[in-house]
Amino acid sequence: MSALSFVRPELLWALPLAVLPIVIHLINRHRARRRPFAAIDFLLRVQRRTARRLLLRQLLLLLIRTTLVASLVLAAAGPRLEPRAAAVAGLGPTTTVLVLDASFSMRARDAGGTRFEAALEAAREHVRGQGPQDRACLILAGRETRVLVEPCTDSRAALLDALDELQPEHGRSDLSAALGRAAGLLGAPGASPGRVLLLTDGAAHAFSGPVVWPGDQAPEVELRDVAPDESRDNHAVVGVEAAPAGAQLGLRVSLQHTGQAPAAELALEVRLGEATTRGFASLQPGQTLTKLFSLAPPTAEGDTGPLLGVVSLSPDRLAEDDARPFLAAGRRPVRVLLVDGDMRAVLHQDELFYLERALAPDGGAQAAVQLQSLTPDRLRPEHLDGVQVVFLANVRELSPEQRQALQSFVEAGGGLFLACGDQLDPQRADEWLRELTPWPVRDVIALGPPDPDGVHRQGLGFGELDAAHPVLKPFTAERGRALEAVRTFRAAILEPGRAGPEVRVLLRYADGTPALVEGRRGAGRVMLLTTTLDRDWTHWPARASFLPFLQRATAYLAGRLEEQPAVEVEVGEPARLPLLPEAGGLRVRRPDGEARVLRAAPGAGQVAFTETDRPGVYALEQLPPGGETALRARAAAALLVHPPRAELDLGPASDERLQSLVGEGTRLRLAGSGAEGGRAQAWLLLLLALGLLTLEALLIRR
Amino acid sequence: MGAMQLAPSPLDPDVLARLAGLQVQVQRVVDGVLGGLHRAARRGASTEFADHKEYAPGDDLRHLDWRVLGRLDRLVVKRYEDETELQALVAVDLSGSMGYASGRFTKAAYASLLAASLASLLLHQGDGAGLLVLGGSAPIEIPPAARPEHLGEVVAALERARPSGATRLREAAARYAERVRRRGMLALFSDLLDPDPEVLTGLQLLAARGHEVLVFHVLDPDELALPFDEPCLFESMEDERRLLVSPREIRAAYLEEMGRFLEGTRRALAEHGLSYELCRTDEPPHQPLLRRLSARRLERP
Repeated sequence: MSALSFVRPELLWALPLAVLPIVIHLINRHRARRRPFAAIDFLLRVQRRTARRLLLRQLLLLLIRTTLVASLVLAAAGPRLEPRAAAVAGLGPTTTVLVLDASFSMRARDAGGTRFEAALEAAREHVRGQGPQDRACLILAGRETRVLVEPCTDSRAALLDALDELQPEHGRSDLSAALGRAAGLLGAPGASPGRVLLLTDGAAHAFSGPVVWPGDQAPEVELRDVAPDESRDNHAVVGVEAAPAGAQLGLRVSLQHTGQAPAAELALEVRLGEATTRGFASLQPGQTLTKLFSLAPPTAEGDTGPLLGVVSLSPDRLAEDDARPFLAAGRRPVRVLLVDGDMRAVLHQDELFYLERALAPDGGAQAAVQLQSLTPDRLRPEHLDGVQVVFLANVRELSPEQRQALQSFVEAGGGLFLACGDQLDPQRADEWLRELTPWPVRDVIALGPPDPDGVHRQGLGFGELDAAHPVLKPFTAERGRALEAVRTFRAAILEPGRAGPEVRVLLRYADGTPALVEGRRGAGRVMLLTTTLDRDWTHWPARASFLPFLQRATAYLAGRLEEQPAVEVEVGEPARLPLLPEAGGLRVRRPDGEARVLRAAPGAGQVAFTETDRPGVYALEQLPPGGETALRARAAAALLVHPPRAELDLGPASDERLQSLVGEGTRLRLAGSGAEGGRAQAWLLLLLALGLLTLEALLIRR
Repeated sequence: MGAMQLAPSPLDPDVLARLAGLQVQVQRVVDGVLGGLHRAARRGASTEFADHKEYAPGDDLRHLDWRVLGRLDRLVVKRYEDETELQALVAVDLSGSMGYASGRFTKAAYASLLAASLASLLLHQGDGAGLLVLGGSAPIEIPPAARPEHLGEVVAALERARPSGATRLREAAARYAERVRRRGMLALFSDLLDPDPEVLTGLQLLAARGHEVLVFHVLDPDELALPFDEPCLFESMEDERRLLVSPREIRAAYLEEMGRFLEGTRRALAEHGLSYELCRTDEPPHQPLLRRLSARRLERP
């Protein structure tokens, strides 16, 4: 016993159009043109002779046209013959567990709506077609498997109400687990024989593994695939990495395409503030492609934090994975104060000559830094306002007031770079530098072996380096050889055993003498270069490695290098959100506008967040302990939650794979539905329409 | 440069219909006929001398009697047995059905033009011509006469007549028999859409008595092709009959019926020695006359 239902029943409203040919015929008769005609005798004779045949032909034509329109409407509505619930297990009432797949891929949109909507409609049709004693339960397979109607009920109203409440989710689902739960419901004491009706897009990723059926006997499973066969292709933006590239922002955009047909000439757009760049991408099925973009990030006044951008691809049926947000450091120039301890009238002899050109190689037009230079005697505490990094280049001495200001500056988070030189008197420096440097200076020595005349002309190259440090990370083993070629002839040596607890030697000369030392003071960082920033003691300023070293050191001291613009997770994954040492909590604003405050003990370093149930941008604000006013944060400014990557492949599981997943002993019935369900019937109707069309043409020509 | 477009012939029905007055139209048609005849071969003409007639423009100069010209200084042409003065009656059907027109000419106008042109040709060669209007707004009957000015009466009568009423073709033979005692000619211009099954009988009897009967069957292209597509309410032009039908559906049967009618008429006339000429109102009017007159020459022994 079968019931006729339709995939798109709303189209049945067009069925009255079937009488259109009759209406047109009547209108034509009414609007017949009056025509005096001399040979009317012939017409009358012909009409008398052919009247019956013409009437029959006319009726046949009307019948054909009416049937033609009706069959087209019915075909468009997607007719489907399905067994009545009661017919499944023979006579008597049956129990059906409806399992709806609510995973992200069910949000794919076909001609009649999303696949989840198609699954809902199929479930509603099933409920409406139930016999009076048939019962049904309802399970939603989303991020979690939830039993929504239990125990199974014969109340159609209750089931339909429950279905009306359902919404598709954004995460992964586990249909294997859901089928296990369904079998558990069917195996409950007193339950009548039944089956499971699984409404899904049939994507292979939805099954975590073979279904474990409780009890001895597995129920019958009908898998209703609500996705049309030809709609398995999907492309998506699966990754965006943003990194500064000089004054520009470099973007690595990863695209993925799955399915059967290639995706050609997809339009790709990157938008960051008002900056936009566009491109095209063509992908083969199964390909992951990386596209590189470079764009000038919009200039922001002050330290505005990371900027939110979005990469978008030509939308397809699953449009929600075709745009991906990303965060990028804005083009915020670092304000750097240069204190020139050895100012010279001859430009290239000035202590800052090489430093200024290394930090602003294009003269400052698009520099990532804003430079201000002055001599030590003119340094005032107010000069430090708004400055992120201070360079003291070969400074002989600072006043107590200046030292105090610099100390406060560093402890508040500022960066200080100290470089030595012949102005530096180790004896006097020990006094004033003690409050600032991580490691006191003891003396100045010549490096390398002396020539026969006693002059140290050979110098020493750099030796061991801390490649894990953000500043020196680019100088890997291979590129580190560039540092070995640098010759340094003189350097300050540091007081052994007097280093602070957070002191780290980042770079040494070939003989092991520290060349670059980093220490922490409060929230700030201090670096000490034991040689000069000009060519007095070293050739480094004339080498290519000098420029990236100083730029990275400046960015590091300003806190830009380790800035983590965003934490990125997939829907459903817990996120570990970084906390500033001084922060006592974090406020998370979800994409739906709701806010959550997460508290943690000071110094915890991070806090867990699990409500990542929808993709989007979750804004983060660092909160002081017990306070609600956001701290200015150097840590992550946002949590980006992306669609589960596994859900992006809409490819179906093969029939064999499905059978093996539900168990070889399980009776599995595979049924197309949704747009596909009525395909066979629709094709029959279309064939009928074609036949009628041909018949009509033949009749008209006769 | 576009394709060269030929100017329409001055004898095209559309062109003729724009000319004011039947007389002018007749003159043009007659010119066309005479031009055509002069070009045509004259094989098979009779050589048995009958009498003389005054020369008139259009007469063949080869028949000019040079001896009379030399003796009496008069231009006369010799006429032969078949060209002796003929008593001809031109009968025009002006029943209601002749009022149909798909182009500029109604069948009545076309038939009138042909009839007047034939009368002109007859008078032109010295034969007597009369007019009989069948149906129409008022009965008209002009006895045959050979005077050249007689053409004016014929043309004026035809210009006055309007198509109306039922067809009574049987009258044509009867009236002719009353008017023409000796052997003569009856030229009938009609669509022959007469429901009377005996319509041709009288004509056949005339032919049997040795009279020459020419039937010019005037039909509109619409009647020959039924070219309408949309449903039509066809109305009779002579009575109250109507028919609502889709012409597309009955066109094949209609054409078959019309074909049978034309063939039957042609055969029935031919079997009794009557001449038959199908005239479409969209063809130049001199053409059917020319065809018929050329054929008439060829048919002579």
